[in-house]
Amino acid sequence: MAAPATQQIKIRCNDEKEFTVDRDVLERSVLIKNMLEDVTEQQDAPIPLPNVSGPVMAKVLEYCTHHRGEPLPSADTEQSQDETRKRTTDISEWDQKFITVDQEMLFEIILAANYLDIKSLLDVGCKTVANMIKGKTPEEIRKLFNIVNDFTPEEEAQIKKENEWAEDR
Amino acid sequence: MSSSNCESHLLPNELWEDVFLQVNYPNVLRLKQTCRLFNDIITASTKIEYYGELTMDGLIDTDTSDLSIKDRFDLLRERRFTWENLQWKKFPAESFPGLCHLYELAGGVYAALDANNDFTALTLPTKTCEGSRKSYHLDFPARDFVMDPTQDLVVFLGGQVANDPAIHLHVRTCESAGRRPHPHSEQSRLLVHSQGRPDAWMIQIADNHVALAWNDDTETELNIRIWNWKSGTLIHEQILQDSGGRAQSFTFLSPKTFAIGFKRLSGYISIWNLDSGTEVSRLHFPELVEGDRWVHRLSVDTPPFMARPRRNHTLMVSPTHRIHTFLLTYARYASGWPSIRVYVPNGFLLSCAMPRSSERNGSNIDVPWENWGPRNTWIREAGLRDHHDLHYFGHGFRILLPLAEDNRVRILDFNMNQGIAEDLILSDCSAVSFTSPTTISYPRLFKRDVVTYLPYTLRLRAFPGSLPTNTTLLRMDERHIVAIDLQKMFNAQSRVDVHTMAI
Repeated sequence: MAAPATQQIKIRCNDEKEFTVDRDVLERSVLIKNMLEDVTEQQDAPIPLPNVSGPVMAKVLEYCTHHRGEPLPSADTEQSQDETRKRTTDISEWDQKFITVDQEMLFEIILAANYLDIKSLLDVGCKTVANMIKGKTPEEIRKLFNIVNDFTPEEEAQIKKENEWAEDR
Repeated sequence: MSSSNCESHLLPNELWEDVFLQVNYPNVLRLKQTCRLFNDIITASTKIEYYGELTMDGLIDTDTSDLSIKDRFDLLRERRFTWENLQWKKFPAESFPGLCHLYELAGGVYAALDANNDFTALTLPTKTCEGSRKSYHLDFPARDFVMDPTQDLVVFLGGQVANDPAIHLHVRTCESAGRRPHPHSEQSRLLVHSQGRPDAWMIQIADNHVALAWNDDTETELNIRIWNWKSGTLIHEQILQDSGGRAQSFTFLSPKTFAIGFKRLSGYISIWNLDSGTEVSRLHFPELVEGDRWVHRLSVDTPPFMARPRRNHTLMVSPTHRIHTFLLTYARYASGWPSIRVYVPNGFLLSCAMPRSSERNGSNIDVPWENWGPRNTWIREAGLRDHHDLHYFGHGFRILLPLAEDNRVRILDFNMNQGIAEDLILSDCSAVSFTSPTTISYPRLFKRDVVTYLPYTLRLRAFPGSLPTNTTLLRMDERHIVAIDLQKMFNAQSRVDVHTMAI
């Protein structure tokens, strides 16, 4: 017997915040999908997600709801070739809008996508951070991520020298 | 190893690695300079190093192989070393009948169409794989062909037959040497003209698209048609006046964009976008002195487009890393018909191929030479030995030149990212990098001196064995250089030897 299309699943985040979500939306997360497949009986206790907070989960669910029904990446050769092409293209317009959040939330989303195993969301997050880095000088990158330059002057000069031949191409 | 930086700890190292894989190599180098943590992550990652070096070589990895990153890295390095040193292995020559003047090398296949309508596809050997040869007597009269072996595709331009004046393109498989219609094509014949008489033509494939450009015998009108060869739909059709002279002035830049050389004014490249169906840029060539000077001919050579890597390969040349060679021949100059070759990277032309946004509609699409040419091209005066009818194709960023006087193979390499590691160059191969500007001074032809800055490396190596110096045509693809005796090619009685070197 196939499960009813609108089966509802409860999840609980690390701040006790609970969500009740359609199963197919949650199954964008490979982690949750595998958990649900392991459970044979219907159970009412919410699935605990100790690594995700409520506000971040709300954002992740927004993403999963928008992309529900899209095929999940598979290992099939033909498809992985298409995937490669997709990887080189830009972020779609909806995803772009979705991921326009402050830096803290952006990193939280990446961590959540990694934990929940949502490959496409992880990709969007990493690409967004990569786009922030593009074209910036080392000093600008430090400012961007609030990083302290912890090189000794000698080390810094050495790395600079190693890079020189490729820098001005 | 550890760093006390605050925000950089927001992500675990393996996720920073994922992020860094998405930025290009110059940015990766800058990331290394920011802090110890980033430097450590990048230095420890074979993956980042591999993708970085791929970019430097103008290659992309399509991820179609099960090989580990380390093995792919070894392949990449071996391949770079052999190309830098032109370290090739020679194979026994294959013989073709004379009067076989239509030939092509693409994606590891050398194919030829002879006067008897026999089509032969020779899968060239590599250092690890044996070659194979297949022939088929075509069931229709063929006038030309083009192929993309990575899609198992060969497209023939058919001729007229007694009771049917229509001209068709025939979509066949390469593997069957043109015997079988391509299984992915809904129509195995594409109608070109119900009773046309193309006099000069050019066929080109770019992924799903096949283009035919042709002139009638008056040479004034250039007809362009582009089909999707899978669905059989005609997606673009136009007739242009005053193009560069014969069909060779057309080339794809990508499946969605193309360029045409025009002779008007001082000559220019017209760039079209298929999505918008409009002309988006005109790149003008150096201005000529006023009076009795004009462009007599303007044609372009472009290495064949491959849709994907060859079978069992995962690497392919990035679409932006290819060089177009524009050949301009000028008329009415006291000392003959001077001509120049203009080398332009595809990446630059593609950057001019974006459709104009609506507010810029009607804005000037003309770009004067000074604004694009000097920085993005290298111009060479075309010598007597590279007569304009001989096309010296290349592959990616490498272009073959005619054999040197001493019979050495000469390759122009426009990928300057590697530099020349002196100690790596073998003794019988020489390489010289040219990074200073080239000036062409023709005061009776050009209004101003023509100065170009695109740097390149010239590599030379002796051709193994003896070949007649003046009659040898060369072709190259990703793994091979092929030499053909041109003189024999036009002689019905003789056999043509095709010499193969595999890199």
